[in-house]
Amino acid sequence: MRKAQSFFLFISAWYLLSFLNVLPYPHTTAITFATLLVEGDPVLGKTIIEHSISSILRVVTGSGIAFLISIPLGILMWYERVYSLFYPILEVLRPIPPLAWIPLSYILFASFPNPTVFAQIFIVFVGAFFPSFVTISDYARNTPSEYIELAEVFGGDEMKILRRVVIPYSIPGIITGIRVGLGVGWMSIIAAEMIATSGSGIGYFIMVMYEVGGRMPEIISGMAMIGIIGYGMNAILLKLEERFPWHSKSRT
Amino acid sequence: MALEVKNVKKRFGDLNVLDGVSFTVEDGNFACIVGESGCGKTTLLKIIAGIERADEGEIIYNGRPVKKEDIGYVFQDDRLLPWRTALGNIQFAMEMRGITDKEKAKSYLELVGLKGFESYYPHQLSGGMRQRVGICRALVVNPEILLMDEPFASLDAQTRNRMQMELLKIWDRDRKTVIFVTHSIDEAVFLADKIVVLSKRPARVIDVVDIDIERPRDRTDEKFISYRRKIMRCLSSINHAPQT
Ligand SMILES: Nc1ncnc2c1ncn2[C@@H]1O[C@H](COP(=O)(O)OP(=O)(O)OP(=O)(O)O)[C@@H](O)[C@H]1O
Ligand SMILES: [Mg+2]
Repeated sequence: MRKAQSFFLFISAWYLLSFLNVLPYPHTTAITFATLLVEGDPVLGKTIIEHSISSILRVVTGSGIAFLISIPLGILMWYERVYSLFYPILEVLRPIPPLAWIPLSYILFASFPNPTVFAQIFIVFVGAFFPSFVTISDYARNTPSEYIELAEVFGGDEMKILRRVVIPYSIPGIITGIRVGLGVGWMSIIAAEMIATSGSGIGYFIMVMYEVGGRMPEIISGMAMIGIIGYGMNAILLKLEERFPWHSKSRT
Repeated sequence: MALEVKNVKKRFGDLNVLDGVSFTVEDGNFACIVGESGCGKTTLLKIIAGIERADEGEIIYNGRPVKKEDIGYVFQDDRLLPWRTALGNIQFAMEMRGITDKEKAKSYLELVGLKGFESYYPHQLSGGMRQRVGICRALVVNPEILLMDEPFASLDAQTRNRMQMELLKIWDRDRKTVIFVTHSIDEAVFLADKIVVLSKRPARVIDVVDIDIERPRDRTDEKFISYRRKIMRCLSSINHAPQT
């Protein structure tokens, strides 16, 4: 019920803005959106689905590489020695937003066969790595001392504690980390695509639609697609997280 | 053959918790430790188990320092791992010692009356069942010494009485040395061969009482009641005695 009200409010406000000539009408936009789902866009000739798939592939590649590092490294931060070695470095790098890496990465990958794509994947990597790493390492480091004591009283050594206590305890944290990382990765790819020509991608699509004369219905359709995909990824992983009874709800 | 707790002292910063605790438990005996809340019972048990370090004193078992392998531990909270089933929680203790024997884990669950609940997760079990899994986990590693920290404190009176009888039955099978911490004088008199009474913090042993009643014990028995009274007097006397 609330959802319906909230949707109604949103649409009314949109219509109001359309009357004032600020935005195109919702129904015009909806038709454009529907058309873009099946027909290629007027400039690049690709459907909005094709653009989305290009972006998603970049995000999955970039964040996949990020998770391959952030998951084991985050877990290993449980060891005080590893923590004190890596923490200061990562704390310095972490506040640099992924977008700030864009110019540097386009230069770094300039000599690669497909520089734009490499740079974009790298930006996603940066975007996905830090939030997932922080979430996972937080989780691992907060493994309840009660469980560690339990392992110790039965004679478990550090290796067994890591494998049988810290890792299983951190699984919901890993899923949260993946969710948060994908979210930031998704935002990063849109931004990265807007800066350089990449031939496809939902961010690139929006940018092109802007450059050919500010086609608002197309631009809003692209934005809507970004929202839908971002929401979908988040919702699926959120469902997965809730399956763990010891998952603390307070974490975001 | 005995477990000897020798002059154990422990402070947490400024807080003096154990002030020279000494007592002996003969092999195969059931000892209860009573003392008021916060006096250091859990700390003492952890020191015996080797997961807390004593500032002074030592724990001797059969003439040598006690080892991890000698000990089975039941925590004050049930402390089951939420990501493991009942069976998985029991196997956890075995894995920590490098043993894998699913059949044995299963047979122990049966022993504590949890046949059919192997694949239940802790949150699907009742409080009493969780405690039983905890006890089972301590038994499955074949410890010589079973340390139990108020395992029944959170249970209702009825379940508690039933668990006490079940515990005695299990204990009777292979007569491990048991040190059982409790708040309840009634529970101590029902279970123990010997009751160690601790003073308020900093804890010292103020009395050791041998309970000379045949098992199964009857709570309405005159002897039972007089032992209860004796321990109660002993505990309340310390509340009036000047602290030194
Ligand atoms: N790790 C610790 N650091 C600092 N103080 C501690 C620590 N563990 C226990 N204490 C303190 O030592 C005292 C004894 O604690 P302990 O848990 O041994 O009491 P207890 O007799 O088991 O109490 P209860 O019957 O309520 O379980 C308490 O005052 C407690 O605050
Ligand atoms: Mg205690």
